[in-house]
Amino acid sequence: MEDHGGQLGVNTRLERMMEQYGNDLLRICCVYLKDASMAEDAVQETFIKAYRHMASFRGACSEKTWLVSIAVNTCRDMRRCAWFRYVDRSVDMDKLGIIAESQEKGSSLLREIMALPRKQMEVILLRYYAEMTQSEIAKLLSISEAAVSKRLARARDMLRCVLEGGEACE
Amino acid sequence: MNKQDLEIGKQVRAALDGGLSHMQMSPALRRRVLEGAAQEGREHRKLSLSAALALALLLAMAAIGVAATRFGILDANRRQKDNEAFIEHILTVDETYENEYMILTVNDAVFDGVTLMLTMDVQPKPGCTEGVYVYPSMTAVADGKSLEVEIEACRGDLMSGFWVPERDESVIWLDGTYGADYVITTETEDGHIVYDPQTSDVTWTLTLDIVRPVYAVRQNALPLTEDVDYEAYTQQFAEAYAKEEILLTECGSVVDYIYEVPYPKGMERLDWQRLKLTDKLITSGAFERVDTASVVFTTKGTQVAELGEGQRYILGDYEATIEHLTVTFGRMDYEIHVRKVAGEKTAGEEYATGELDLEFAVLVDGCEAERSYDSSHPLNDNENNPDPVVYYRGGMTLMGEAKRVTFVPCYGVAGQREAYAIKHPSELTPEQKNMAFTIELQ
Repeated sequence: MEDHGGQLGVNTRLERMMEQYGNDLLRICCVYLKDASMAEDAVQETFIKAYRHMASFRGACSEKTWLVSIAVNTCRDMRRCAWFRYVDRSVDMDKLGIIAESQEKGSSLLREIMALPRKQMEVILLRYYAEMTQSEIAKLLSISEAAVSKRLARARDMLRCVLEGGEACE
Repeated sequence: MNKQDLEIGKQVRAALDGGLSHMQMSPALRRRVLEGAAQEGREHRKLSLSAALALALLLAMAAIGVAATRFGILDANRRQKDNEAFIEHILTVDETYENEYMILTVNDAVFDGVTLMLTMDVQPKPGCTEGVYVYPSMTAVADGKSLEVEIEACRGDLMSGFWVPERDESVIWLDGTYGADYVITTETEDGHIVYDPQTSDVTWTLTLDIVRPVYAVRQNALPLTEDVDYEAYTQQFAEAYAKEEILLTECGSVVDYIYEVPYPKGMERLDWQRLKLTDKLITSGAFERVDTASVVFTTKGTQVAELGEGQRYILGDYEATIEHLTVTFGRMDYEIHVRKVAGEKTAGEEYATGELDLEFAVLVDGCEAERSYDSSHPLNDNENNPDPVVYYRGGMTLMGEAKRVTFVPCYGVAGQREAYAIKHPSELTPEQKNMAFTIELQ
């Protein structure tokens, strides 16, 4: 479908963005919030915020990076609300409906990622799933690039068992 | 990305896409997004009538009790909405600064003895397309003494400044809601920077330096990525200045630009480096001053409890000493020193080689609490020999009145997970309970 510009063009672009990035954003928000329905709320809010500011987006960063930034900040805002006063990291995988065969390495890795402390989980998601550069991550999280490096190193260390051997660490 | 990163990326993507393959943009979710966008469109068209009519609409809404948007402290800190002490300490500042380019309102402030949390609304004047650059700075005085203030976190760039209207695409979604956490610090005799809790009334002065560009502005600086030569990156800013242009980074920052501007003849380099950012921008000729304005407000003194200092606990071959533990209505900060009491190596030496792999789970009883920061390190001397002591520092945000805190030593990689996973002392195993130590906070 052609982009005609104006309102129709913006809507078309919004639909294209949902098609292209929606699933990725849902998965990022799901890992972040550990709640599938809150993840949907976060993604809905992300696209509406993006729509609101689409006219002023000049493409200085990639569209995906822009959307991921909005999504992560939305998740952070949601985490600050009353529901997330008490962060429970003992993730109930059944509630998330995670598709996992018990022997599958990917399922072990996903569980370990979701069990990481927030600081390490964030950088793993942003670097390896959202494919953001360390500079972009530093900007988004308002920390130095050195701090990003340190968090990534620590996160890789904490995931080492699952990444190398395919077994969850004892 | 290097080869290792690519391999990890593949595994992470496979894990998320496989395990969460059912998380997809459903037709219902797409419809909700499009309906929400349509609603935004209607609001936009309503407010794009003349400024006078828009103002009339806002006034009408206020008259029938529908509050206009105001970014308050509890909007930025929703987790504190049930913390009575926190709410009692909210100061409604409601001071507005306005010029021909922008309107800025400082809304609320809360000082918990260490951190000042501040919220504000910033909007360009309707119809104003010309941008100005705002550089905020904060000072504080208590008992007649100037305090050291540092910015710890911010919403919008209150650290190095921001444009109005905003040029940083990563924050334009904030819609003019800005905020910052400022902390009071002090330097110890041995050169450490630590928090400096205050019990007295503190008078704060927020100063806004507002400048506008004189040179033409470009915002397409070559970004600094792994492939880019650092000299080439910095050279582009110097070249832009030579052509009487202002070159901004992709997020609208002037910091790298002004760093490459040559300092004026007759001025010492050190004097130039000490100038405030906006003074440098003006001295360079690239910007001119619009205005400087300040807002002053005073936060009431608060209780700061200092507990447990000097208490020692044996952890097998180690000894943990509480160096300090401070508690206010909104936060707890601690510093624990760990020393080796048996064996040849010191704790610092073991930490440096990875033999000492210790973290502490911090469990607060009596209210909800969330870890806000933590760090651990030995302090090396000038010859880079590790100090025998390993310092553990950390803080918790408290959402109520804390009764006690329990520190649980956790060892190894598995221990690091436990340090963050355990939520309450009732979850401790008998072994963990043996090693844990508890300090009463009331």
